[in-house]
Order: sequence, then structure tokens, then C-alpha cells
Amino acid sequence: MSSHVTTRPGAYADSVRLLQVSRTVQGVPGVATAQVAMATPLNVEVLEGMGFTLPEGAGPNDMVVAIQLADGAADGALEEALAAVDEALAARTESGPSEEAAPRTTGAALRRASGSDALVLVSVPGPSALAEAMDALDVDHDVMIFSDNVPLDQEVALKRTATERGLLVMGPDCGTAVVGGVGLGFANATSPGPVGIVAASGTGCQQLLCLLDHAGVGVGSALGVGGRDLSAEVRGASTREALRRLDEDASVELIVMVSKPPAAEVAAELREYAAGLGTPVEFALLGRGQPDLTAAAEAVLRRLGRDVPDWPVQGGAIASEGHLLRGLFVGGTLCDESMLIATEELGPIRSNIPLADGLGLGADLDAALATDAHTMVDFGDDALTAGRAHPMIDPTLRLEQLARAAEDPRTGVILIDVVLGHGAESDPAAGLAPVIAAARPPVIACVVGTAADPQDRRRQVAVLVEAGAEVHLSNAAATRRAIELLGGTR
Amino acid sequence: MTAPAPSAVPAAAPVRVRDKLAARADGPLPVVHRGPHALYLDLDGWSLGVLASMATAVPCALRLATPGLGWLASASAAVRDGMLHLDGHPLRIGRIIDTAVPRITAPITDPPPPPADLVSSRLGRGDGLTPYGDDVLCGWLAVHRAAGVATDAVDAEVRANLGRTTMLSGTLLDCAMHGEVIPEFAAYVASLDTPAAAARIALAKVGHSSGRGLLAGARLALHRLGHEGTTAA
Amino acid sequence: MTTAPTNVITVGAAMFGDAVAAQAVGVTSVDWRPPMPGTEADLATVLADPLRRDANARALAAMLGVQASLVDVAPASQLLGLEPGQFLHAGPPITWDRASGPLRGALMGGAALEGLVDDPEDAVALFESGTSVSLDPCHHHGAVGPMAGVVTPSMWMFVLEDPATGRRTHCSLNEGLGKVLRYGAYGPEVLTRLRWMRDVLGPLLQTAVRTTVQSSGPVDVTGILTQMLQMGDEAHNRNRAGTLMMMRDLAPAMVESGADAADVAASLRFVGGNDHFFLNLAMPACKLALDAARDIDGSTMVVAMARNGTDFGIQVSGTGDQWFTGPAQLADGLFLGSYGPDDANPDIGDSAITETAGIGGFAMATAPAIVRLVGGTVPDALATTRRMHEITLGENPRWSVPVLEFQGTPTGIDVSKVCRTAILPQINTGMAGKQAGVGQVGAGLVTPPAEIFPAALAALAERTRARA
Repeated sequence: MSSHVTTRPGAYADSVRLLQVSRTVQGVPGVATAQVAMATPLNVEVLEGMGFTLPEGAGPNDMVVAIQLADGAADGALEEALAAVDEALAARTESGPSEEAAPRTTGAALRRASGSDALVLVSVPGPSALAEAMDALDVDHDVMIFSDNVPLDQEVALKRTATERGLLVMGPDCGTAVVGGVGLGFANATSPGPVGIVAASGTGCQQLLCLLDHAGVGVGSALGVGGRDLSAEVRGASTREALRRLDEDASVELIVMVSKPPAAEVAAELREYAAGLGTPVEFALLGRGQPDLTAAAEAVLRRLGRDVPDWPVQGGAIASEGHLLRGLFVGGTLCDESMLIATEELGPIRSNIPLADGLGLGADLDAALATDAHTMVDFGDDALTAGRAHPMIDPTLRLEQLARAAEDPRTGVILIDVVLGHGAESDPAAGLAPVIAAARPPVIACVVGTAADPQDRRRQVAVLVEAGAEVHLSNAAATRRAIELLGGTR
Repeated sequence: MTAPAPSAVPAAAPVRVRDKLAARADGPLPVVHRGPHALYLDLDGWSLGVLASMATAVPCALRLATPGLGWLASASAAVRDGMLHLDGHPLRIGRIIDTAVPRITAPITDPPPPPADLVSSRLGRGDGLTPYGDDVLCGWLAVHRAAGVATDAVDAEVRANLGRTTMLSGTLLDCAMHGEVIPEFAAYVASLDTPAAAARIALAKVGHSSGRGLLAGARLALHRLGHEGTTAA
Repeated sequence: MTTAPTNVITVGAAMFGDAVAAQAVGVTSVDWRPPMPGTEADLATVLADPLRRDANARALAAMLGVQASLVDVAPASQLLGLEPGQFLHAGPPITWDRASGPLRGALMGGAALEGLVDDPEDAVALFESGTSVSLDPCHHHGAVGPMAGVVTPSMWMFVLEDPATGRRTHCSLNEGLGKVLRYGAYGPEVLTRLRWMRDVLGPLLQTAVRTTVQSSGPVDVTGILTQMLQMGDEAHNRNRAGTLMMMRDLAPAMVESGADAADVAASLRFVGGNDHFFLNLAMPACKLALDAARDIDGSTMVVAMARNGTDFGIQVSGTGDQWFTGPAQLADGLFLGSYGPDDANPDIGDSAITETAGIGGFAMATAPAIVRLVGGTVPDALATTRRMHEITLGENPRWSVPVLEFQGTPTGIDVSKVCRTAILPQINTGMAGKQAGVGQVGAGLVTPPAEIFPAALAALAERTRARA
């Protein structure tokens, strides 16, 4: 073992840096131990404790380089170690652009965007949605919650907080919103116009947007409130705020409220609230004995003094064997609407989102196919989306079931919806066309979309018609056509 | 080996801008003016803007979400298949912007005739791309559209003399006659029946003098139309 | 109004952000990840607590409103009423049988200093029997202690006061680096230095502070912190500028005290030669501020982080005096001389009060030199401070970081944010040898044990549910 101590008068580096230099030099082959330090009394003590002898007069302003070579260290090891000292002392880290990392919470993002009118869109798993949404409410921003599977008590807590602060919570389970022309979640590209929508139903809202768009009527804002907003527990907290916002908007001439029928006491409260607004409110409440969405759109047009157009139909389906109606939907409200219409003509419909107790299929899709009854499945239901993307994004599951339904000899007609717009998959017709082309039973498709949608409704319709489907814009019309093709089979 | 197609740039546009582009034959558009936040093109005599998010949102333009236009190298512009291309990048219109001036009610439906020199004393008077006198006229015209009061004689006089001002200012006058305005003007008109002054202050701050000109024109028009109780005005 | 937002913040599925961007609207995407396992329900409960937002705003404001002044220096016996046989220590409560080497060493040295034993080694029996001695955390007596944090009755302490309320906190005088009591060393040189501090330095500082208070008012410790943070100190592992500024403020009164010139010179030399002298002022200043935020129902803000060499504990505003503890971790860093990781004791000391208050590791960006402790880079230092903003309630407008455009230091650790992001507070620390008597072996970076944050969150949730 041999020790080498040199001092470098006037050289300086801070102690932390010198600790690092020491560690680097300790890694040089042949070096047993090394210490590079300012000769402060403490360091002198440490160095002497390590067995080094320091030159006389070394003081706190001198840098000491102390190296102990291992026995049998190669010739030149000392030079190498000293070179390593120089190199380590001179080293400057190549500092790249210190770009700021993305925010990890909604709160952090809002803090960076402070002063802006940022809107928050939450689509994290349901159990974590409250945390992100509450971040928005904490700094007085509105929030849309796409996430489903959010516990009901958490929805109530969020909306209670929002109400106290005059904020709007769209959701949870809010699939669609248009805020000042900006589509959020699954939303169709529409033009500004005199109608404002409040929607407790995503696809119901989309159907209305598209029917009005076809009739040349724009929608400036469509505010979603989530499917449970009109329940007895939530009591329309978001609906009230959404109505208030649209009432304040001078460009809104008519407000349309789209929902399943609310809980009775909530309905009364809501009608009273709407009656106090300056802007008229048209209720489109989807339920037994109520007008369907297309009828509601027609009512809106008449109220605005516009003409009701013929709703477009392309292609032509031909009846075939089989006695069962199989509906496969990605839109829950479209599924509901079809069931309501079909029940009138065909009797009870079995479904995973049944209209009445005793008609449930559960989440077991095999049961849906095996049952000898008319069935309609909502592939966007919470139970079928847990751990999986929504069928408007990932069509795999419905395509599989569609192929199986088409093979079943009992199937008389297949009814599907195809929902276009922002957020939806880029080319749904491409996946559906081969399945439809191979299907024996006729396929009736309701394509909910506008010409301005990213997928371009005209192109989607053309592909589906080419594959043999009959395509409607109105889901109600599509459903009635399917029943007609079934030929009164009850 | 082919170069990858330049990526699309998302844009938002008013309906009339979208429709003008959709109807335009393929071909280049000359650049009239280029700034850090805005680019103005000559769309057959109509000034088509391309605006970064920092720019004043004039109603004759496509709006982008990027804060600046520094990414444009040559700023060569052309229309292909109804879509504007800048440096080869297609500007895909993903959203329609509402530029309509909000409606107001005017107590006087048959107002006194406008001053005879309303147009002649103002059109093209002032400095810059949008002379102050034109801003006043824009404000005056847009408030009449808000009230649903036709101004055929004034419109005709403006149209007949557009050659006296810049292409951009002429285009903005065209927009005002269509009831198309900047967001600050829309917010101001929407706030007329409320006591809040924030929208008026925000409008006055627009541009060098544009906001003040718009405000002055709006007040002239509101006075003519007998719009009372306008604390915010 | 229902106007188009100029910016949409998306958290969750990226495709929704893409769909918004395609409409020429600005999009900020949150880099969301699942929270710490098993915390979803408690997070929802705590975040939905109607008291929380205002409680946290009040806690943060209370903390930021405190200005700490140095008003006195006096022995612990007078200030805290400590009797012989009473020992204060760092961190959450602990007994001798669980105490780590450095804490034991410091207690043994402290017993010798107080004359309870002649030879520190004899103190082992004293503490094992436990009949004539007692251990208590500094934090339970309005005090903080670095490393082992042992305080005995004869030790002199700084007294910091909040002039607005008269509340006070205390901290012993810093001994310097190397073989010192707080790192668990108890050799003769350690005791000699402590006796000198007791007999010479303490009384001299008392005279100087009292004279200064009378002539020009109390020393503004919070103000010195403001300045030193712009001079490369982060006030935990680097206190160089702060030490010199404090000496600047006290030196005239020391010289004029009438004390023996040699004692004055020795004292000035001692203080000036000890880069960490100011740490023992920074710590009680931080505690004074954080104590103002204690006991606010519904607040999720951490008001103390402290380690006793065995356990790491935190206290939270909304859960009173309850400690949430887990095993103290080993620091990652550089070692003095030939010491290595095997020689180091787990994390120890009340000094993490600096990080709790938003400096130390949280202000890494202002002291880039510190990041080299773990072989990091300057961008790492910037990233660390920015990362701490993810888990804090606000910024300290007084304490700003020039290189981050004078952004305030990240302040007020939020238990719920730690659980949501799994980002743990970053602490800069010294490392004590794990054997009693060794002293300092290195310095580095450390984090608390992760599990104490879900534990604190669960307690907050329980209180929320009980209140509902």
C-alpha cells in the first residue's frame, strides 16, 4: 500500500462535489481508497484517521488530494487516479433542456393553468374519479366526468359541492357534451345554433344533435349531467345548473332536456324550476307512453318554426327466415328507445338493461344468444365495460356477438347502432362491413353522425349499404323498420 | 422513397370561412400580411386569416390552438380539395366557431336616418391594417344586426367604397354586415342589459385602437336605436 | 355562460384529449397513475369532506403568516423546565430498548454531560433500568433537535418567537460536523466541546441576542431564510449563507459584550467555521410556522416529519398529536472517508421539519450542489422541486427560487396528494454511523416509508366519517 497526498492551494469545490469526486476516484483500478477534500480541521481529522499524512500548513483554503493505492497496483495507477481527479473536478453534466414533467394530478395541471377558463375532462377508473373531479371544483372549474362505476354517494358529494360553488359537474357516466361548440367525450360535430341541450343520456343527446343537424338546426351547447342525475338521490343537481347556464346564454332560444323519465318528485321539482326560466324548455323524456327521440326532435323543429325533413334511409333490407329480433347496441339510450318501441309491437324484450324486472339477462352474453326471445344488448353498460374500453372505442366484443347472432337460425332481424363523432373509433364501418356482408338475416343500422364528423357519415353509410345493411338516421325509424321486417311475428 | 405527408393541423373556423374554402377551386393563395400570431391571405379579394391562439379572434379566420405561428417556414398557402394548406400541412377544420353577434331588442324599430357622412367621414380613415374609422363602422353595423335592423343604404355605400380601405378592414366590414364579430364584441353586446362593466373594459383593450373604435360605433348605434338602461355601455 | 373553453385538461383516456386537440382547442394531459394500493375509498371520503378545502386553506395561510424571530438564548432547564434525568430526543416517541446506535450514543453522552454518570459507557445501565431517566420527543416540548436531537437540562437553546401570537419554539446550539453528540459520538472531545458551549458560547450568545433585541430588535430568522434560499442554501444540508448572515447580525453585540476577547474570538471562529450553525435556527423557525397549522379539523396537511433513528413519523393537522410511524429508511448518498452503506444508521432527526415547511429537499432547485449527493444533475434538482409541487397545497411567496422564475417553494405537504401520486417527500439528510459513538458517516437523500401516508389518510377518513 502506498499513500500519495498533494495539496492544491487556492483550488476550491464545495464539499458535496468533492465527496462525489472522491467516490469517482475510489472506483479507479488500483486505488484502495481516495479522498479529495478541502483541508478543514474536520477533513484533516478524517484524512489522518484514514492513515494519510498531510503536508505542514495545509488549511481550509487548500484542496487535498489523498490517494492510497492497493498492493500490487499497476504502474501508472497513480497517474490514472490523478487524471480521474482532474476529470471529475472538471466534469460538467450535459444538461439537456429541463423540460417540465407532465402534471400528475388535475390539481397540479390547474395550478399551472391558473387564471384560465380550463374545463376538466375526467376519464380515470370510477373509484378514482372523485379525486380528480374534486380538484377542479376546489379551484372553481367545471368538470365533465366520463368515468362510470363511480359510487352514488360520491356523485352526490361532488354535486353537493358543485352546487354550493355554482359549478357544473357533467357526469359521472357522462358520455357526451358540447360546450360552446367544443365536443367532449363522444360528441358529434355540429354547428352553432339556437338550441341548447341538457342531457342525462349520452347517445340520446347524440341522436338529437344529429337529427337537428340534418334539419339544419345547430346546437351551441349540449351539457351532459350523467344518467343518475334525475334519480331521487341526486335530485337533478347538475340538471338545474345546466339549465341555468343555458338560460343565461343569449344565443339559446330553446332548451331541450333529454332524459329517461325522472323520479316522480324530481320531475315535479324540475318542471317548476324550468318554468321559472326565461328560455323555454322542451322535455324529451324517453319512457313508456312518451314520444321517442325522433318525435322529440320533430317537436323541437316545429317549436322553432322549422320544417320537419324526411329522415334519411339508405339501402334496402329484405325479410328472411327467423323469428327473433336481436338488437346489439353501443348506445344505452338507443337500446332503451328500441326496446320501448319494440315492446309495443313484439311484447317483452330480454336485455342486460331490461325495461322491467324479470326480463334481465345479466352480463352473460351467451345467455342473451341462447334465449328464445327477442333480445337487445347494451354493450356500453357498466357491467360490460368494467376492465374494457367502451364499445364505441373497442368494437371487438360486439363484432363477435354480431357474428354469432347472424349465424343463429332463429335470428330474423339484426338491429344495430353505429355512433360516430369525436372520440369514437375512426372507421366503425370497416369492422362491421364484413360481418354484415356475411350475415344471413337482414341488418338494420342506425348511423348516428353528421357530415362534419371525423368519420364522415356519408362515407360510413356508403360502406354499410355496400355490405347490405339498410341505414337510418333515426333510431326510432330503424327500430320500426326492423319490426316490420320481422313480419308481425309475435 | 416518398417523403411522409405533412401532418394535419387542427383548426376551428366560422361557417362562412369553412364554406368559402370548400367552394374555392384548388390553387395558391397570396400572403398579404404575416405576423408572429396571425397570417392573412388573399382569398379572391377576401382577407382570410390564420390565427394562433394569442391573436385577436377576427371572424374571417381559421383559428389554431398553437400559441404562435413560428412553426411556419415559408408560409406558402394553397387550397386543395376545399382545405387550406400551409407549407403543405392541411388545416383540418375540426370545429365550427360561433361568431354571431348576440341579439338585442331595440325600442325604436324605425330609427331616424343615419348621419349623411356616416360612411364617407370614416371609411378608411386611420392607420394600420384596420383603420379606426372602419372599426367604428364595424361596431355600428354589428349592433344593427344584433337588433335585427336593416341598414341597406349604409351597407351599399360601404360596399361601393371598399376600395378606400385595406383588404382586411374591408373583409371585417363584410363580416360586420353579416353580424359576425370578435368574441370580445359579442361578450360586450351580451352584457348590455347587465350592470357589469368587465366586458366593456375587455373590449376597449382589444388591439391598438380597434376595441375603442368598435365601442364608439356600438354606442352610436345604440343611441340611434334608443337602447336604454345600458349601464355597461 | 357556455363559451368554448380555451383549454381542456384531460385526465384518463388519451383519446379524449386527442379528440379535443383535433378541434383546435388547447389540451393539457395529466400523467395520471393509480393511487397507492387500497387508498381509493379513503381518498374519496377525505376529498369529499366538506371541511377539507377551507381547512387546508386556513392551515396553509396560518403557516405562511408566521414570522420567526430569534429573541433569546437560555438553558433548557429554564426554557423547558427540564430536570436532571429528563432527556429530549428527535422523532416520534421511543424507548431505550428500541433506540438506534446514534440515539443511544447521544443519550449516553448527554448523561455524562449532566453528571449522571462519569463515563458515558456507564449510562447504558442507567437507561436500561429506566428508573431515574425519562425520554420524550422534542416535538412534545415545543422543540426540535437535529439528528439524535438529544437535549439535556444544561444545554443552551435558541428561542424563536412569533411576534403576532407570542408562541415560541426552541432548538439546541449546533456543534459542528464530524464526531458530535447529535451523530451519536460521545468521546471526551465531544463532551469537552459541549461543556465549552455550555460555559462560554451559550452565555455569550445570550448576551449578544438580548443586546441585539434591545438595540435593533429581534433577529428576523424567516427573513434570513428568504435571503439564504437565494444564495445557494436550501437550509437543511447547506446553511452556509444563513450562518454567516446570522453571525453578521450578532457579531457586533458579541464583541461589545465585555466578555473575554479570546472567548469572543473562539466563539466567532466556532460559528463561522460551522456551516450548519444556522440549521438549528432554520429548524425551529420551520416548526414555529408549522405549529400554527396544527389541529385544524379536516386539514390533510402534514405539520411534522421526524425520525428517531428507528421510526419515521408524521403528524397531520387534522389528526391532532397522533403519530403515524413506519421504519426509518437508509439514505442514498455519499460517505465520508472509508465509511460505506453498511456503516450507516437509518434516517434520524427532527431536521425533516425543513422539508415539511417546503425547504431542504423541497428547495433543491435553489441549491443544485446538494443533488450531487446522489450523483444527480442540475436538471434533477429542478425536477425535484417541481415534483414536490405535486404533493403540496401551495407556494411560499416569501421563499422563492430564482432559477424557477422566482416560483415560491412547494409548501404544505398534502397527505391525500402523496397517496394519489405515490410521490414521497424528498429529504436531504446527514447520515449517522449505526454504532453508538461513531458520529457522521455521510450525507444523502431519503424519503419517508410510504405506508405512513395511507395510515394517516385512513385516520383522516375515519374522522370524516365520524363527523358526517
